[in-house]
Amino acid sequence: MNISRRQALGTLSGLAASLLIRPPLLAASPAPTPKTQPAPSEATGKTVILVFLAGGPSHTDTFDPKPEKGRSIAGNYLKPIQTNNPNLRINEKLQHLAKIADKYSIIRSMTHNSNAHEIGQYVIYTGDMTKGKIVYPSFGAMISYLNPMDYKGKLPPYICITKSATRFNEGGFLGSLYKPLDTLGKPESDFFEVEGIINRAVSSEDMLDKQQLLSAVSTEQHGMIELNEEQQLLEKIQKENFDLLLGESREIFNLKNEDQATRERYGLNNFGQSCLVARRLAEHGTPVISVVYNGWDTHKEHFKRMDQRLGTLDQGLAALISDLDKRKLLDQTIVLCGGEFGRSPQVMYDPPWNGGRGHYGDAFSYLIAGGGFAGGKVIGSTNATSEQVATRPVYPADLIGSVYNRMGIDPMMKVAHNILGEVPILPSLLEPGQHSSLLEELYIENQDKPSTTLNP
Amino acid sequence: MPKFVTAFLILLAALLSYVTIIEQDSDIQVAAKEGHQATISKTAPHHQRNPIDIAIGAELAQRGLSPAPRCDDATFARRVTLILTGQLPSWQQAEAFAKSKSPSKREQLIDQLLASPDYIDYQVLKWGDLLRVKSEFPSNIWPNGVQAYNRWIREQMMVNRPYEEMVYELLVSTGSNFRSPAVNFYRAFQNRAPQQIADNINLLFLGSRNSNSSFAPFFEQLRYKGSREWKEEIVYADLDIICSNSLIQMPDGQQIKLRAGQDARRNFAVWLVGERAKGDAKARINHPFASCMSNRIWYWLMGRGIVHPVDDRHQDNPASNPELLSLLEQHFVSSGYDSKALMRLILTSEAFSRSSLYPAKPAEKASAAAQFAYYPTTRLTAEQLIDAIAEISGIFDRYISMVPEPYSYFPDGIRSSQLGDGSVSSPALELFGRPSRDSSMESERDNSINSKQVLYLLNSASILDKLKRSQRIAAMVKEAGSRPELIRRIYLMMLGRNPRDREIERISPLLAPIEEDGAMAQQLIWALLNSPEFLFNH
Repeated sequence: MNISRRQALGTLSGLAASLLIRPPLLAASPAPTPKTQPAPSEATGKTVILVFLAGGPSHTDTFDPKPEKGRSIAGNYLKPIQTNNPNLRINEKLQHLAKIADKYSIIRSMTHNSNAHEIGQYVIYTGDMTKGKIVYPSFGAMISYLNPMDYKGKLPPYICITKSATRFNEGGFLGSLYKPLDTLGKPESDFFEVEGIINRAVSSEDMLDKQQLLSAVSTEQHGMIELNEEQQLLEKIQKENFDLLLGESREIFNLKNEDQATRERYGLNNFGQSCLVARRLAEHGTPVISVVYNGWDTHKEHFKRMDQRLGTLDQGLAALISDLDKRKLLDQTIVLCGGEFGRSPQVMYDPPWNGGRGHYGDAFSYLIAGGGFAGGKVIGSTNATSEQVATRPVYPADLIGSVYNRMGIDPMMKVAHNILGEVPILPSLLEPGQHSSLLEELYIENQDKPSTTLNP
Repeated sequence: MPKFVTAFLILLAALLSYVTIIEQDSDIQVAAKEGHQATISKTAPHHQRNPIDIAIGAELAQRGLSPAPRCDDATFARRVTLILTGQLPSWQQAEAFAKSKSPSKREQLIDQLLASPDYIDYQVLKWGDLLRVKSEFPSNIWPNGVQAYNRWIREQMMVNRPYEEMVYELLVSTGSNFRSPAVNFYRAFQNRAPQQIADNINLLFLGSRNSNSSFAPFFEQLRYKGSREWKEEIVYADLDIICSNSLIQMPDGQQIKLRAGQDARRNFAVWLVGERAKGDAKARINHPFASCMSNRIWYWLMGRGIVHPVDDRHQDNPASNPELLSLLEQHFVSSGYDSKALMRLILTSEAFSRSSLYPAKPAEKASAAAQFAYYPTTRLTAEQLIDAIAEISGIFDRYISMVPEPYSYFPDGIRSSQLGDGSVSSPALELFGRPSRDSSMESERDNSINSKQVLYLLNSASILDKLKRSQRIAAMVKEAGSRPELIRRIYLMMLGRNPRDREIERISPLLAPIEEDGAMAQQLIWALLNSPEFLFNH
């Protein structure tokens, strides 16, 4: 299942030709042809950070509150706060985010109609709602594969802090090579051990000794085992990795390089420190970073668990966005935050839920900031009960397609597939009912033009 | 035309050599004395010419290629154990094999492994990959269904169920996913449209990646319904449905007439597996069906298909040695689709026993690979590698599936190859290319080596921690008694062979001082773990 870089580049150059042969579906459903597709060199997005709230966070209890509906919908959160964006109110626990609402925008009209974790997560990560016979890679894997920024760092191009949500295989048809590197470890602890990269027990001197021993052992095996291309590749990669293990790159994961005040601003907990690691990786130029925050599948004890989580989320995410902004990195770093779906707006007060919320894919919210997306906007809306999208639906393919556009990848491009020849990277952009349009109203270059943005 | 003649001559020669040599062979008596069944099919004397080798020999001679020499005993034992059980031989097993003087010890090892429970486990893994057994996306069989399905697959492997019977049962399966586990076959498809089901079946059993629209009508009656039990699903054929085409032209020219009120899947199944009545001289054999599985079994053992890749069979991708493939197919069919018998035939061939060392120019080497002149090296698979690390240290990873419900807890000491559920995984298994079971293609298992894997092996806290905490290694240090013996046992455990004097001389000065044998053992195991001879099956 390997598709070489060369094949990928071939696809890029063959793009013009491939766009001429459009499937008949296009006639029925005009595809969102981007008016301005920046070349990779002019792309505004260099890095994308996905803050993934695994399990599906309630949209009504975060970015789409409906307090006027009382406890049946709003539950315990009856007093949303006004942000510094006059058009945006958010949950009362999101105090820090309320102060920087000019830096990000909120999409209130996300939809994919699936209420199952595994399908919701697949659709959100890939944008693919076609239910076809092939499994797509996540957008992070696709970006690592296409590598529009020509990233050449020593660290892998896609890093997950700390462990991927594994409800589907992110490599999809691209194979395991493009999957994220899971850091594992505990960024909030005194010493953040990164699996494979930082090991407390091994000093640099130890590492040099190990290198020498391995070299002796392996050299003596020549003649016992064929020195073919694969073995030569192994030796080459081993050498590169010793360079990494003995070099400076891994200092990125050493949070002791940050002053205590900064660490505290992110929150001295797993999520906060994960966000801080994400910022450091963004500075390094890692193209795709994901921070996975678990525990949002709140069927029971919903409000108690939300009380515990919202403050942590607020502190870490706000610190990440402001810190990127302060360091002039926000302009080139896209930040996304949301889950695989929202949660049922009607609170389920009856047993066995006793005040819980179920899965909800018809309508939910996403936060989007930076990297060529304007802040201070609210995109789309839901109806009075937050149960249905009222205006400007945004499908996962629209969101991911817009991220691709910002990163210099044409959302309509195709890539090589080992059975089907060529496949579109976002097939749902060609299917009616699976997309509406890219988020062009948020593109920074469209901001002086008359806005089509609908405010609540 | 001449090809048919050659094939016939080769077969005749094979048959003759088989019969004549067996009669005079003294090994049979040896084997009988040792308590082995002295049957023709079971104990193949080592110097008897296996028909496989005659077929390969003919092609090699024609191309002026010479075969690689026979690999040494240590390499053979490691190779065959890995390929049949997914595990490394223990140092004691490796040593016992090296010391055995029996002339038929290779055959004995093969029979012993084929009869072992570890072989069953490993076959269940292979079938799990093919049938895409997975709780979650995209199969979505869910844990209870996965457990029932796995148990069913295991039962098939334990009785060595004839392949055609097993496939037939899958294709006509009806009932509840819990009570008739074979129906999970029809539940594991991401898309349940008749054409997509037909495409999957075409890929699985005929090795074709093409979409054949004539197959779709057979699956149009297929329906799914829930029950009042959570996640129970009933799969059945709705016989009131009239298929969109009632006279279907099959790729082999046969015409199949579908009658109203009958399950059309039966018509397809009968066509696919051929005539089911055994011993019937007129029985129809569906060659692509038998050939596809023969080729797959060859690939599982030899690391490369005769048609390669095995699941890309079409006109422009011919068999590299058609006589060889047709010979395997005939053996498979005449044995009653006995997978084990076919494996035994392949494993006892010289071709399987060849060294992987084959110095040659790239062009010649490619041709030699396609003609099985040497045994190819393959990186240990994800499960082989992770289980080997667990076995060496005696510390096994814990596997739990918290999603989806019901939660699955796996017993301590379970090997990753025994998990049986593509949704239950670990970052390390994912890293080393365990197939995601998204499709039934063999290439989903990614055995290529990449930078992230190497980083993990070089410096993973989890591996180093296992070596450090390992009581098994500590016991080994104690029992060995002396440093040379300890080094020898470590080499046997990791590589299946004794260290050479040169090796010992070269590495000794780099090892921890003599009074720190425990540290030395960890150090040496770590280094060998990262060395090519360990990382590859060769």
